[in-house]
Amino acid sequence: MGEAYIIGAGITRFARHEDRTVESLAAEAVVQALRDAGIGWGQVQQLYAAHVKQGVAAGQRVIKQVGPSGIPVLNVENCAAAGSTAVREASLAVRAGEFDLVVVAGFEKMEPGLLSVFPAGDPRVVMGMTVLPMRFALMGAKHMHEFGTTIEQFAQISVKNHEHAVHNPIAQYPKNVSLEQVLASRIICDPITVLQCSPTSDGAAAVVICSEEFLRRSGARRAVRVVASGLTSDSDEQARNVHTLELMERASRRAYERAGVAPEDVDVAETHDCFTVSEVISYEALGLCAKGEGGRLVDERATWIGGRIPVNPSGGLLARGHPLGATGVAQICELVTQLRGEAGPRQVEGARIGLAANTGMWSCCVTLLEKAD
Amino acid sequence: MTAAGGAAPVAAGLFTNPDAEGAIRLLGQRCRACGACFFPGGRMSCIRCFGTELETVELDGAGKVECLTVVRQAPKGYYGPLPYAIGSVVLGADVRVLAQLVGRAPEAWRCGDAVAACVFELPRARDGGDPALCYGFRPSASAAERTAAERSR
Ligand SMILES: [Zn+2]
Repeated sequence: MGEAYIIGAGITRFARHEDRTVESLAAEAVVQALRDAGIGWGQVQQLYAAHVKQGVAAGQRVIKQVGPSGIPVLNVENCAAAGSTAVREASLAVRAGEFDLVVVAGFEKMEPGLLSVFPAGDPRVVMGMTVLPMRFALMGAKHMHEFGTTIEQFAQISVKNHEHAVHNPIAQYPKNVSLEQVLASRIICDPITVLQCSPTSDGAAAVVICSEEFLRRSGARRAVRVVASGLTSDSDEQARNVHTLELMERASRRAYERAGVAPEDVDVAETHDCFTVSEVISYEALGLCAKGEGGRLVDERATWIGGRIPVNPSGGLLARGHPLGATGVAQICELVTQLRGEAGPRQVEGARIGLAANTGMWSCCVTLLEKAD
Repeated sequence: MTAAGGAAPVAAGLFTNPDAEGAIRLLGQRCRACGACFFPGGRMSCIRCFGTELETVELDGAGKVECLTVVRQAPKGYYGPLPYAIGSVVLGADVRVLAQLVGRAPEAWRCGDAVAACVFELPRARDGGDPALCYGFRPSASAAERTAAERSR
């Protein structure tokens, strides 16, 4: 198996872009990523287009804006894990020797309100069981009951990620919020308040991925190696309602094993904080702390920039924003920026190994990246 | 909050006909090869061993709340009262069922509470329409649960 390197990253501002089409957002991210890599669109051999609810052949619609080069397009839908799934598939194809140079674009323009995936009249809809934070609220309640985790520890994740987002120019909510504000905001589903839910967002992110051979030939600098990834879908967790992040645990174990990397080696992580609860429990699923100690990691401020293992320096889904198909690619873009040492005031000093954990409904993809030089 | 005249079940095959007190048994599936039970049924293979010899079984009527949340914003398509409690209820050794906890103020529920399976009605549409007979759990100290427990013995 060969290696795969990310040599370019591009991202639009995450916001409500009322006046923009999703195609133009995606094209903007692609063009930025190409410019960052110093590559022309004509050299790209395949486009991976990650999106969730953008309609039929959205990737082909994006190509019309970037340029009709005639290359193949692969549309990737994997709920909110679409972006990282596409990066994984692109890296695997490059590593297998099928392509030298590909682009992954994740993009989304979202409908307002809570995401709904069940058809009207479904018993779960009638019975009020499709409220999105429900699974995470139950997970949080169980964690509080079993380990004594507190509502405040969950809420601190929102404080932290908003604080981080202040230094991210593309973030949707780059402003500080206090613990009191987070706790006093409207409750959606106990213990999750509205400031503990990721927002409705529009945006796009893209990366350029190349082979070792192409990297050597092009002389591209600032490359980041895609070391390994793990993808898991469906599971016991859902079938048995066990309220854990077992999917993430298995996906990370696979990625660590493939990479020959231990959780202690990770310098910076972007995890799927769709709700505050999921970030705290992801610390445990990713092995950043022992089972039940997620709350303690929060108290120690270990996951703030400057802490032992900074998590979501970008502001995460909570404050950077969460345009479904774009999120997984945005996480990778942030890690690329961090590993290159180009993150400015939100830089995690000396970061060499980065981890992204991206979850969708009933899938999780964990990616490990390493500074290449 | 008890079984009432004529509401149709929210879907067929989920639970037994309610008794006069509204007590029910949920209908799950049991794997003949490994004995695993699960709910809802309708699967083609066992969630544990993937065996395909499955039978419909009445699950335990009594259970315990493992964890719960109180929902305060209605999801799309839900027209029942707010707020409401959703619990993860453990029936028997290892079957977990998500459903509304009824018959007590939503905020009054606690992890570890003993419950019994029951039916209650929810509207299917904003204007009410034909109500749906739904499965849920209520405090198990009720007379209905004692009756059900005796009957199952
Ligand atoms: Zn079985």
